[in-house]
Amino acid sequence: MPRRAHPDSTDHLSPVSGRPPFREYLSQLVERRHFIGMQAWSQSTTQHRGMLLGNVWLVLAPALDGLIYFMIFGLILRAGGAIENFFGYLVIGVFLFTYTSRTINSSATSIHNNRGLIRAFTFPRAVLPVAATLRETFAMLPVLVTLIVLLVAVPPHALPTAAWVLLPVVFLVHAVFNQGIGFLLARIATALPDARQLIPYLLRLWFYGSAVMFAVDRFDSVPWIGQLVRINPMYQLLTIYRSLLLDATIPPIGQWVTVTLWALGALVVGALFFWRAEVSYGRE
Amino acid sequence: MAASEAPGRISVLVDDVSVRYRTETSNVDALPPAKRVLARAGQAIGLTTYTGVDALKGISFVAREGEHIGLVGANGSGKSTLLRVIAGVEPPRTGRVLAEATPVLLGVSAAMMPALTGERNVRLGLLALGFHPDEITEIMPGVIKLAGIGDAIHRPMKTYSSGMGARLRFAIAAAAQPSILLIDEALGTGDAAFADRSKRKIDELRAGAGTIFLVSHAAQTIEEMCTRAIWLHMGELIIDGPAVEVARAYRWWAHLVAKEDFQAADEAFTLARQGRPRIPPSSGSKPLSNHEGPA
Repeated sequence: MPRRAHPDSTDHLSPVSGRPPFREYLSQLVERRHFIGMQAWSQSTTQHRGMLLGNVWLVLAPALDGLIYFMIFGLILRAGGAIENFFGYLVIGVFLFTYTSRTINSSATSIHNNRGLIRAFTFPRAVLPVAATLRETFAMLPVLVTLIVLLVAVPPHALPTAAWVLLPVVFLVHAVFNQGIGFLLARIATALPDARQLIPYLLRLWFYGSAVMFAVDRFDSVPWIGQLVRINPMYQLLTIYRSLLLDATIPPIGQWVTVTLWALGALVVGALFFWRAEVSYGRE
Repeated sequence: MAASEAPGRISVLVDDVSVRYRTETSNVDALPPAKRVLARAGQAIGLTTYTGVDALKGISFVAREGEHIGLVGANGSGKSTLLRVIAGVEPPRTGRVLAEATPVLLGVSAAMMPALTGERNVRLGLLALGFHPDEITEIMPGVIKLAGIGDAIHRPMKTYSSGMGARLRFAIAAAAQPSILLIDEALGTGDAAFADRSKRKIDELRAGAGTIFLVSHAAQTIEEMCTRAIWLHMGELIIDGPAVEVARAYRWWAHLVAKEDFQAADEAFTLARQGRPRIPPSSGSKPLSNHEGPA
């Protein structure tokens, strides 16, 4: 051994825990991509185990949500106003907001639910919220298919147009945005378990504030709230989905830039925020 | 250094490591007076009282390649905590741990994914350890064979007995061929057949591995398997030296405590702490047994 001469040298040692530089952290994360994939997959297969309908619930749950909201807001309260295809407007809102709320819930609980893995193995903890987002994104694919089927089947039928080609693009931006928010909530909910109780209320507030089941001009009775709703990235994402799917119009470039900036901003801030507390996730 | 050969390279450096747990307590009287009133009021309305418990207090030592280090101490002395800190799964409050490779922990307490089958857990565990899917396909049969739990490998892990779970985890960690191996009482679990197989596997790992840490309540095991031992007590390092000497001093102390001869126990403890471990007077070639009294 060439080092025999200096038995007390510690140059070849490196820390066993702690926070690597951000760039290195990201490359460690990429190295564990197979782990992320399997973690995402295994959680999605066990989620509805023991239920008669199994994974059909992935589609059934948002469909029932949409039905109830349509009954109350569409048929009874007539909240649609001037909206031509209010059914389409509503199901797009409900289905795609569900994507964000499910991702937030999964990410927020991902550290707590996988503490067995955390205590057993050393790996970048960001694996867990990333796997949570990935799982919800996969779970969303059949929901998107159902959404399309409903839009086409239910009158007034929204028929496929060229604008639909951009659907994957806005979905990707949406996924990036969700990942960013997921990172934020994963750290907050781990540091402060009470946050897990609070999240459903915040999500409901956000749900109502994103013009999911009534037209946005309903908020204009209080001008600053109307402004706030229009700045809200979820409202902006839903607007893009709706104009692509219902109006067959491609939203102006400015709108795309705004949501992309929101998504990238959330991702960068979220990832940095999560990474900074890396060492704390092993504590109980 | 007690090892007779030339010292190997440093493989693990533990530098002033402290760990403090924040835990629930029902004993308000143990809190500092300033906090007592508030804690009582909190308890009255159903809030939980928390207190800090020092699990490790400023532990420092260096481990070298080729060393097998046993950790001895009473329940709650911080042995398992120290092992988790070295493994990097428990961040210390102060201090640092440096290592030449990623240490692999063989623990019995870590529950993995209870809803998944044993086979899926093996795959997931190997991925978490950083294996590539192709490698996993290759080593999977060996891991399952070492675990040796038969058909149960296809059943969810939540249906496993604790022995079966421990065997599976042992097999996963062993597959990593770690150069720094941390064993937390893993040898004590499993039936005779598995104990035999795991012993062989550990011997194999020992032959290849640089450094092994072993936590065991059985000081006898430490004497047999280790070259060096560290005695921990209430989170403090009492003595660090040759395995036989330290393990025997610990057993002598534990023996005196068990006999409720606290004065002699305190004396033995103080001597050990001063670096002059007391080997029990009657211990000859045969190690002290539980039935032997003091001279």
